[in-house]
Amino acid sequence: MGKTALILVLGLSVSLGMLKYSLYRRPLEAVETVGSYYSKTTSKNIARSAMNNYLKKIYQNKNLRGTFIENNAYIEGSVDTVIISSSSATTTNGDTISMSVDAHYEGQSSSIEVALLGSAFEMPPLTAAMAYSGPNPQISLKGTPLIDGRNHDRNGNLSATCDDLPGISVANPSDSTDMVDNQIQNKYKNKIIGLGSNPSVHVRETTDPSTYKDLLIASADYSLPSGVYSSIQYGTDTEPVVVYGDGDIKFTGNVTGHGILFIDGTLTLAGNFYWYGVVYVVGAQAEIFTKVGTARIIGGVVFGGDNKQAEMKGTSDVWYSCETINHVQDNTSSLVSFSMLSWYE
Amino acid sequence: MNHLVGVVVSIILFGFFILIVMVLNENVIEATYKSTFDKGSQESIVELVDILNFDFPKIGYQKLPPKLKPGLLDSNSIVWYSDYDNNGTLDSLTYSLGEIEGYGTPNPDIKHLYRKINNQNPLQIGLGVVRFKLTYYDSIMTQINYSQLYNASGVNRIRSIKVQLRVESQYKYTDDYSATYWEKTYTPRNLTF
Repeated sequence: MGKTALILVLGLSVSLGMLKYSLYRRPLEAVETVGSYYSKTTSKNIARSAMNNYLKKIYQNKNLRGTFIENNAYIEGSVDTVIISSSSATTTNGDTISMSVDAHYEGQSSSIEVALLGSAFEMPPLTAAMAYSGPNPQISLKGTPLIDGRNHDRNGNLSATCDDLPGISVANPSDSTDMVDNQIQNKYKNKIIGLGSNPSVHVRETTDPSTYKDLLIASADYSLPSGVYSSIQYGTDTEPVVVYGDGDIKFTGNVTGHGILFIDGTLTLAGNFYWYGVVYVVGAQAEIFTKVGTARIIGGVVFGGDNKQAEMKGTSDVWYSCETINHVQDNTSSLVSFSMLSWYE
Repeated sequence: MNHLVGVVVSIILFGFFILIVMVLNENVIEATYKSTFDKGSQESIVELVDILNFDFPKIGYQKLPPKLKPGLLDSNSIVWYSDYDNNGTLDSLTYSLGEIEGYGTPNPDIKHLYRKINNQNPLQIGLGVVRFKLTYYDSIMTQINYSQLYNASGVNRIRSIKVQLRVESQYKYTDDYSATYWEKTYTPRNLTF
């Protein structure tokens, strides 16, 4: 009787154990399936996060290259390898940049490959040291101005690297006649020099800078609200910048800048102002004033629209320099942007 | 007399015990079947989703617009172009939901889901698919009417595609089929450029 009871109990125990195993096996397998799917999805998400993060980084540093390994950077337990490569170390117009990401999570992996095309805003060629794109230009000269269309190097010395341009270019012959005969006093006619005889005022077709205003706003390193800005430096010789002035801007004190200055309003210079690059002035009432001190622009000035006025007092120089313009074009990293060619995951 | 009563009580108790074991056994069998069917549909949908997750994000890769094929997009079929295997050759991929199987399975709602690459024969993927619905959205997530997908301008508006998938077991235990539902809205990056 005792043995029978023991056998019954053991048999019952085994049966219940099998029942339990049978009951728990399926859910466990289901959990494993879900777990595997979760890991795969997570690895994809990590890869996307890493790629988006490095896209942001390369937008901030256009020349970012290399292999980057980040342990546990996004979700604990993940390892991401990011490779950024290009045929050139410095991103220039037309370069293709390849980016790849390998992400791992809990035994699952995902990868993404992205191709980017570098494109740079290209400044339209200058047509003069000071160019008016629209009709009815106005100029008023006082003090000791010099608008020089001869080519200069980046230090302001005469250079034969590029052909000389006119001192001033206007949109049509009647504007040229009006400017030479009525606006420029005789004593200042030899202060506008460059291509041809003095005053060097020629008719040239100049692209209105307003047409590429949005591109430059998008690229701006500095965006200045209307106001007065004193004793400040924008960019350096090796790292020129794009400065956008949204409204009337007045510079006082000692101001130095390298790159592109785009003013959507009136630009007033009342101090010592040195700009190495191109100054664009647009807007409904766009004007450029120089009052006191020394204002020197080595590169060029372009006005956008109709009825634009330059009023130059004190010591104010505008010297054409193709070297400076080319240097700004080639070294202003913010002029470079990327467009995505493909995304493979 | 007492011995006889003891025997009768023992028989009754043993009968209860056997009854309990039988009921327990039936419940276990039912639970086992159900979890087996649940697991089956779940595994089936995960396998399907793996394939979808591989294919859909690549829509339009290395293809200029139109990146999907006008006239062949509706609620349960889609055709697009992409170099899906990244070998430098453009491919076309087709997903389409077929008719009700009608035979070979006791679940009358199960249909064939086909995946076709280029001009190869379409392959059936997944088991137990009863619903495969596609919805198309533009850049501000406004649903695009299927009737607008018959020309390139309509197709070029597509930025996101929602996929809804329901898989059921082939057999039912008691009254219901085991079912798993999944949905995801894909926004393939290549549709944005």
